Amino acid sequence: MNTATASAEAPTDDPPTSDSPAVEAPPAASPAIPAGFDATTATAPTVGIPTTHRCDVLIADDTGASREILSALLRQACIGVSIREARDGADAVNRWKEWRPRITFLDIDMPGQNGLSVLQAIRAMQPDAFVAMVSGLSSADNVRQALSMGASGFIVKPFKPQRLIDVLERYGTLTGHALVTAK
Amino acid sequence: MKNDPAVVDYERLLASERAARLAAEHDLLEARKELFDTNVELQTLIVNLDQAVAERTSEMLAARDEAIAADRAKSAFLANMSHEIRTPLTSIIGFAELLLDKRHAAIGRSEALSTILRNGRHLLDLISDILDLSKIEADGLELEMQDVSLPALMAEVESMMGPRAREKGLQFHVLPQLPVPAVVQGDMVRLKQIIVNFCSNAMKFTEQGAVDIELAYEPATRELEIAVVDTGIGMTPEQVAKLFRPFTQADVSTTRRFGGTGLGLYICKQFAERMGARIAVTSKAGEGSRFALCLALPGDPPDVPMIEDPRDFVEARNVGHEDKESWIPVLRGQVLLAEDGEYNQRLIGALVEATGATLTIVDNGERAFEEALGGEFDLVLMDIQMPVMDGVAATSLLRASGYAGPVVALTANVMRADLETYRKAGCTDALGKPIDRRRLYTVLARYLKDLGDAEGVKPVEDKTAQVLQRLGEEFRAELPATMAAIEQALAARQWADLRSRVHAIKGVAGSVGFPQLTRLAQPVEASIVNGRHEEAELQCAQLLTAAREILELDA
Repeated sequence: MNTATASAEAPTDDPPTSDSPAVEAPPAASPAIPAGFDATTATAPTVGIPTTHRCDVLIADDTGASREILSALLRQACIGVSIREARDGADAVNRWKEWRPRITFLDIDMPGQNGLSVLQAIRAMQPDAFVAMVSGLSSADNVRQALSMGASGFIVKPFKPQRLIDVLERYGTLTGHALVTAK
Repeated sequence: MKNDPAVVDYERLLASERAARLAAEHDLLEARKELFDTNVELQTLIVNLDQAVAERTSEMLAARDEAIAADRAKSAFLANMSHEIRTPLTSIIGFAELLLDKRHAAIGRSEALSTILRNGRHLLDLISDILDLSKIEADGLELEMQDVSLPALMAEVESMMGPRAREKGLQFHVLPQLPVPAVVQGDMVRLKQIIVNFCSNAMKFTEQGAVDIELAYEPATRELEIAVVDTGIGMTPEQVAKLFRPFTQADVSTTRRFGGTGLGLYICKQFAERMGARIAVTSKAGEGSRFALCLALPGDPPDVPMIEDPRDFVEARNVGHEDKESWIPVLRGQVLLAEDGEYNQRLIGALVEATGATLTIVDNGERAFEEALGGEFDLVLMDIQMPVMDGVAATSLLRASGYAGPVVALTANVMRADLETYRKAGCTDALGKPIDRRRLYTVLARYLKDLGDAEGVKPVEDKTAQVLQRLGEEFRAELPATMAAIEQALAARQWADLRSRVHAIKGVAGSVGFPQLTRLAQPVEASIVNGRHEEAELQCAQLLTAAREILELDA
């Protein structure tokens, strides 16, 4: 099985969501995938958990394009990820509570409850949850603050596939669940 | 009668008294036994005490004798040293006087000068031996542990010892017993010093025959043995036993006949031990000696690259030697250079661009962090001492953010403890400053895509030579101002300022053609860091003198 089929399956693995404003993950062939990170160049998976062993990922970002790119990149890099999205902070907290995802990507700059406040809320529910922050601001102070509040990683927008892979590999190292299939 | 209660009572009383007496007798016996045991114990203690006193006394006597012997050795050494120092000085002064005296115009000028030079150099050797020794004794010896190419090391030793062997009519060969490791871990300068010391000893005590360097790898112990074997006068076991003590030579007459400080081997042993190596000596009077340095390798092949083919050994030697300046790998990839010094920015920039890799330069740790986290660099070259945020802090923050790409520390401080700090912060490698072209290329080739001899790849024009020349000229042009600033900092005793200025020289001068300044700047910085300000002042004076010499040469 190659990564392209794996990513195509991911949305169908998603349980139906009716009561929340979450949007379904877009199909893999999203036009937003940056050039040079093409599914056809990805090699067959060498490591990874079986597809039956889904890894739940929550992406919280108020910008639709950002959510789309990040989920496309995620499905590109991993097999067996099931992605759900949230449009703002309060939505992210609700979805997290309900779904308890293994990995969470939180945009910092969201209207209402911002990412750092969501991070605190998640930490309060599960102190060792794997939560990576996402932001267009990569200033050292910004990053330091997020890390001091317990972020498990920091990804800068615009997304660079390698930095996303770095964070996913860190998740693999911490939990023993290798996610990344190809570099 | 029998049942007479009085009788019964009486008998009962008797019986109980008998029992009581028996018990008392038993107790008495016990007490006597105890007393006896205690006595015996006491006796033993007294004997032991006597023994202990005797032991302590003899230990003390031995310690005293040792101290007296050490003191004598030191006095003898001092007497020896003054003799050793006076002899070359006499020659220097004598020939200098002759040169000044117009009446002795017949004396060959160049002969006199070369005698002065030779004796001056000998004095320098003596003094550096004594300095090494004092550093070892004060435990202030610092080693730069790095990858050292074995063939290159051998080539350097050969270039120093080969002519001396030929002068004396001795055979001299490096004999690698293949396969041998291509690289060993150690301090290049000290490794060379040890092997050169072995070789000069061997040549000193060998009148005819050969002095060879045998290289052999022992897989069972993971050790590389570098052995200097001679066909000289050899030593008795008693002489071998005394070899590594400071201030002693095989015997006193040896000093007269063969010269030397009597410190060389002691210093070698200290260096070896501090590098985690050992020295093994075997010798037979009248037949020759064998001095071996046994170096532990960090891993097994294939983790440690091995040289299998004799041609590779010769070739690798040339790479370490003549081709050093010409090898440029053809690479593709993005490199982020974080470096605040303009000289090194331009030099490293030229070197990196000559490989075909693309380069982004930032000048502090915070910008390096932001660029790296938001970018897609294949390699980050991270200077350690930078304003705003230093390289160690930037690297730690990158690692804490999840950044997993290679980060190579660029640093003028490559002592073992420093390297450990960088590694702990998350650096994958370290490169010493001044930047050595070949080592930089080795590191770049390790992390970037190597196009090697792929077809259709055009090597990029190498502008390093021009850049280096320009940097050298600029460095020299700025030298008077640099010196003035150093003198000012020195006069005002502003140590922090002085340190940063000297640090800058240390990291740059060597790359742009003034290695002597890098060499002299290093101890100044070390002394300031350790709070030895008087020493720093003296060393700084040497640095300024060397700088003045450069400017005079220029004028």
